[in-house]
Amino acid sequence: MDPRVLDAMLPFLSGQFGNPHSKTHEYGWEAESASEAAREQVASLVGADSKEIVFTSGATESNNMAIKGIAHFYGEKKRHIITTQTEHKCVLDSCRVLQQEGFEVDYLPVKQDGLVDLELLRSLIRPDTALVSVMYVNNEIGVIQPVREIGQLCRENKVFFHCDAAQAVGKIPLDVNELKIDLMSISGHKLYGPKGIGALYVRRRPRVRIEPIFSGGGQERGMRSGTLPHSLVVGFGAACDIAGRELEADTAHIARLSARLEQGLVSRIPHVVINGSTESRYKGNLNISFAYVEGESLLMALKDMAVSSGSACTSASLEPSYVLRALGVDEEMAHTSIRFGIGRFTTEAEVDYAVENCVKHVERLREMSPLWEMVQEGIDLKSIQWSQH
Amino acid sequence: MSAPPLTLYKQLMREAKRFQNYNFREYAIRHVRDDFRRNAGLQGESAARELEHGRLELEKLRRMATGKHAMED
Repeated sequence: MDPRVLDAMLPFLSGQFGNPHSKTHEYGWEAESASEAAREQVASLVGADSKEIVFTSGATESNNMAIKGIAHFYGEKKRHIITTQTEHKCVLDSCRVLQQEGFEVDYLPVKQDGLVDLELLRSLIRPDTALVSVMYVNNEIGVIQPVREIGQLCRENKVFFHCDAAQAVGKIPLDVNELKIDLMSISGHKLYGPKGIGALYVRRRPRVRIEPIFSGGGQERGMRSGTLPHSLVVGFGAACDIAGRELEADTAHIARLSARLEQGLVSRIPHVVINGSTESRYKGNLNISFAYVEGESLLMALKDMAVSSGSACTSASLEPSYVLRALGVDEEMAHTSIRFGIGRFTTEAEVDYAVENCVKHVERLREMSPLWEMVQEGIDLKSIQWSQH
Repeated sequence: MSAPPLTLYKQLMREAKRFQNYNFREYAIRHVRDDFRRNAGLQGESAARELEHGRLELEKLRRMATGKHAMED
């Protein structure tokens, strides 16, 4: 969390605390005006009206609300949903739940570069399609989907477009009207705000209705009941405000460090593959596979580095990845993929350290590998007949 | 730099260097340096506005770097 965010939140964690919905209490008023100011800060960052911003507990809740909310509201006549195979788990799971309720869901495959095939999407849209849900920036491989074109396509066909923009908001400039987005999920902690808070943008013109997941007092214009956690809301607003101001500087910094990381790795380590489109990508996310290296061993070596630098921003992580599988990355390469994250607080020294460590450990692990030896000798591993014992 | 910006720069740098956290410290130092570099040519009203913004940031830095926050009652 950005220290400036904590600074904005602290007065509200003591002293000024009050229920933002209690309109008669003196402290209630202060909390409410601060929450409404924060709402405006969130709206500004994405080009929305503050009436279109609903606070939630995070992007997971927002995704659930959007997908299930649309399906249940319009479900009588509209029974079809389209999403992609590379969406976040909460989107995929929400769709699976709807399938169990009798909705039809198409999970669009992606091309080898991780991007959606627009013609394929167009061909799948039907008169009873309620919603298309496609994320903006993928959290695993960093690719940026053609959101503008998808928005246009959905608008033409009168289908609602939901965009999980958790990894995009505050990092790339976006305007919900320009992009013709109808619902958009925003995550607080992804833009250096507090955890436990997010928002769902819900378009008012033309009107988008959702059936709420929570029943209760009807807060957030009936869309999300529950007392607002106003210290988190204020923090979220501050984070959005800061992100808007810092966007240009952050982008330049991250681009510079990302190029340095990529150059460093690609120039010093042979047989590396960058997963996902290299043109349509967010620079702060680099997913690389190191051929002929045992993935978990490499990760363990790099985990030490991430821990010692104390930064979550350069953490490397290894996950069994359905996203990579959707790209057609073969199992071995998927297993040795490492995702590097670069952010506002990442330093050049950390990037250099990451490169050095990677080079050192990849070389060390390859030295130990008989497969690597065979590759050096020019043997095509795929031609080997492994004998049964 | 003329006197007020230079003084402010030095004050901001001093506070930035006091951050305990490595990443925040490096960011603050870089941020101050980049901001002053970018605004170096400003004159008149826009210069005054940036200076004011800088003074508010200085107050924030003083609170953040040492962890002492103004708790209002």
